Amino acid sequence: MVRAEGIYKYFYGKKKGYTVKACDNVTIHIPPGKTLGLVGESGCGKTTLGRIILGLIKPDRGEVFFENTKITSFREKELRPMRKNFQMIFQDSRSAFNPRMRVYDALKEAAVLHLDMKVRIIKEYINQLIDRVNLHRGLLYNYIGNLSGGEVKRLDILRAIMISPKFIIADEPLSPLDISMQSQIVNLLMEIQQKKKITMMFISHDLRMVRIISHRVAVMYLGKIVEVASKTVIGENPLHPYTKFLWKPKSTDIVLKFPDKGCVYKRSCELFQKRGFPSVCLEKEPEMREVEKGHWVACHFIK
Amino acid sequence: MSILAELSNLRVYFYDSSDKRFIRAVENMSFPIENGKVLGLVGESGCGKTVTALSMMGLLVSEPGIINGKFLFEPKEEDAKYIRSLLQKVKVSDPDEEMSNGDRLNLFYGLKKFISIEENPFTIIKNTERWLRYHDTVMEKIRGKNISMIFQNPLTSLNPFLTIESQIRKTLLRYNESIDKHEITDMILELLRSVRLYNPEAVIKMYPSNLSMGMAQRVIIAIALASNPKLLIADEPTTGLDTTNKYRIIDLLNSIIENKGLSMLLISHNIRLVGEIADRIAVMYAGILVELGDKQEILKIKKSPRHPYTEALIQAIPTDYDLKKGKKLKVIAGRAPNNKIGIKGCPFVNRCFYATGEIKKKCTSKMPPLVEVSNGHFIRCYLYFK
Repeated sequence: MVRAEGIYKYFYGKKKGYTVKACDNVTIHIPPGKTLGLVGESGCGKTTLGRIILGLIKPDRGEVFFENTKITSFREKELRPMRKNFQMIFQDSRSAFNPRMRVYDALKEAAVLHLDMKVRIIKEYINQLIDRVNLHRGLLYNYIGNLSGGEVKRLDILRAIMISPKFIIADEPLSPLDISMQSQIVNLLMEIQQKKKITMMFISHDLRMVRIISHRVAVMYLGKIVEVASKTVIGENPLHPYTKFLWKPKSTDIVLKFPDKGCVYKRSCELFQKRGFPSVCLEKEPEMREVEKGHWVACHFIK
Repeated sequence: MSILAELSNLRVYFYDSSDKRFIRAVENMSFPIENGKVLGLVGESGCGKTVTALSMMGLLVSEPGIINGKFLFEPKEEDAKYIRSLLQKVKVSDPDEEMSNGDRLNLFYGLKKFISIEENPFTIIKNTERWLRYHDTVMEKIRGKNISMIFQNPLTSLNPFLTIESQIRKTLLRYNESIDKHEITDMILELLRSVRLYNPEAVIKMYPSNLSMGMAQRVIIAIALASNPKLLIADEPTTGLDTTNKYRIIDLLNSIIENKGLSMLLISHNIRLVGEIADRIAVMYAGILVELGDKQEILKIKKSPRHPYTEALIQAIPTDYDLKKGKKLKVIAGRAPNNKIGIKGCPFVNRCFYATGEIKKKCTSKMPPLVEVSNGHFIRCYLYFK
C-alpha cells in the first residue's frame, strides 16, 4: 500500500559541519489495512519521515510510493487530488483548526472541498460522524478555544476520517493528554481502523501504547530504523539493544550526536561495552538483516 | 517525622463574570508535607492540581474570587524574623486565627479580615486584590528562596533572549548578594553538573531555543535549585518529554532529594510515575481531596481499601498482562463534572462503579467525610464510612 524506499533527508545548520540526519536510508512498507507503529526518542526523525511520506517535505533522495504511484516526483498541483487519500492527525490538534471559525464551519469547508455533497447532506453526515467519536452534537457550534484537549483530539480524528482516506498518519496523538483520555483515544483509533480498514502509521514514543494499537512496529534511532518486527515479537523477544533499553529505560545519559562512521547507537549500547568496544561497531555501519521471518534487525552481533 | 509545610482547608473559587456565579476550583484541601519526603499530587487535568500549587506560591493573580484557608510553612531562619514582623502588621479581628504554630508561620494570615464569603462578589474581588497586594510582600521572601517551582513547559519558563549563563547568574545574585563575581561561573558550572547536563561549558553559551526539551528541563531544575530552597514544587515536570527522558528526569529529581534532603510536592496525572519516587500520595478529583495515604497502601496491596477513583486511575494504565492479551484498554467512563458551586454529594458519583441502589442515594445527597481507614490513610467515600 505505502512504500518508502531509501529516504534521505539532512538538515544543515548555519555552523559549518553541523548536520542533522533526520532520515538516513530509511525503508518502510505498510501493507493495506494494517497499522505500523513508529517508535523512537524525540528528535530521531519520526515526524520528518511522516511528513515526507505525506509529501509535505521533499526528501533529498529516495522515493515514496502510494498504491504503486510514485508521489515524490509529483508537483504540488498534481499532488492535490491525491491528498484526499491520506490524512494526518497532528501532535498539536488545536493548531489544526482555525480559531476564528466555529468547528462546524471548519469541518464543512474541508467536506465541500473534497466531497461532492450538498450542504444539507453534509450536515447530516457530520452529525453521524460526531456520534461515532462519542461527542455531543452541540460541540459543533463552539470555537476551538472553548473545548478541552480530549474533545479537540476527537474532533481532529473526525476531521481526518471525514473524507474517508485510505491512509492516516497519527503523529504523537497521545502526548498532550492525561492517562484516562489516552486510553479512550487509543480505543477509538483501534475501533475506526478495524471498521473502515484504514491503513495507518502511528508515531509515538510510548512503546506500550504502540504495542496495543499496531500490527508491526519499527524502532527508529537517530534517523535510522534499527529493528522491525511484529508487535508480539517486539514485546516479548526484542533483539536490538536499543529496543531492550526502551522497554526498561534506565537513567544513562545518552549523547544525541551523529557519528562520522560506524553504528549510530554505539555510544550508549550495552552490547558494545560488554563485548569490549569491538572495532566492527566503530568502523562499519550495520545493515538490516532478516533474523527470523519478518523480524529485521540492524546490529553486527545478532544472528 | 517533623512537618515542614501544612496546607489546611484551602478553598479557591473563581468568579465567572458572564454567568455571574462562582466556580469551584479547590475545596477544603488539606495535606501536610513532611521534612525530606515527597508528596505526590495526582488527578485528571482540570481537577485543580496546579491551582493548589499556584496558591501555595502566591501566584494566583488573575482575579480569583475567593481564597480561604491556612498555609503553615517554616521559612529559613534569616527570613523568619522579617516575615513575622510583616505578618504582625495585619491586625486580625478574629482572635481564633493563629499566626504561627511553633516555628511554622501561617502565610495566609489575615485572610479572614479581608475576605468573607457572605459578601457580594464585587467586594470580595476588591478585597482579594487588596489582600494579594499585601500577600505579595510576604511571598517575596518565600518565593524562590524557600519554595521553588518547576513549571509544566520548560521552554516557556526561560527567557529566549538571554543565554543560559546569564539566566542562572541572575538567579544566584538575586538570592545571594555576597557571591564573589569571579567564582560565579564555577558555581553555574557546578549547578549544571549536579543536574547531569552533558558538556555544561558549551551549554552556558547557548540560548533556550538551542536546547532540547530534556536539556531545558534540566536547566530549569538547576535554576530552581540555585537558591537552595526547602521545598520544591514540580508541576508535571515530565509532560512533553519522551519515555526515556521522562525516567531520566524522575531519577534525577529522586537523587537530588536524597542528596540535599529537600521536600518535594510532585504534581502529575500518571499515578505510576508518581509512585516511582513519592512517599505519600494525595489523589484529587474535581477540586476535592479524595484519598491521602502512603504509597504502599495506595499502589501495591491489592485488597487494601481504596477510593473507587484511585482504583480507576490505576487501571487506566495498561499493565504487561493487558499488553500480552491485546485487550481493549480500560477507561474511566463519562466526563469530569462542571465545577458548579451548588453540587451536593460526591462529585465522582456519576462515573463510580460502586454507586448503585441504596448507596447511590446517600452519595448524591451529601458529601462524604474524609475517613481514616488505617494509620495515616484517609479516604473520602461512603464505602468505608460506618
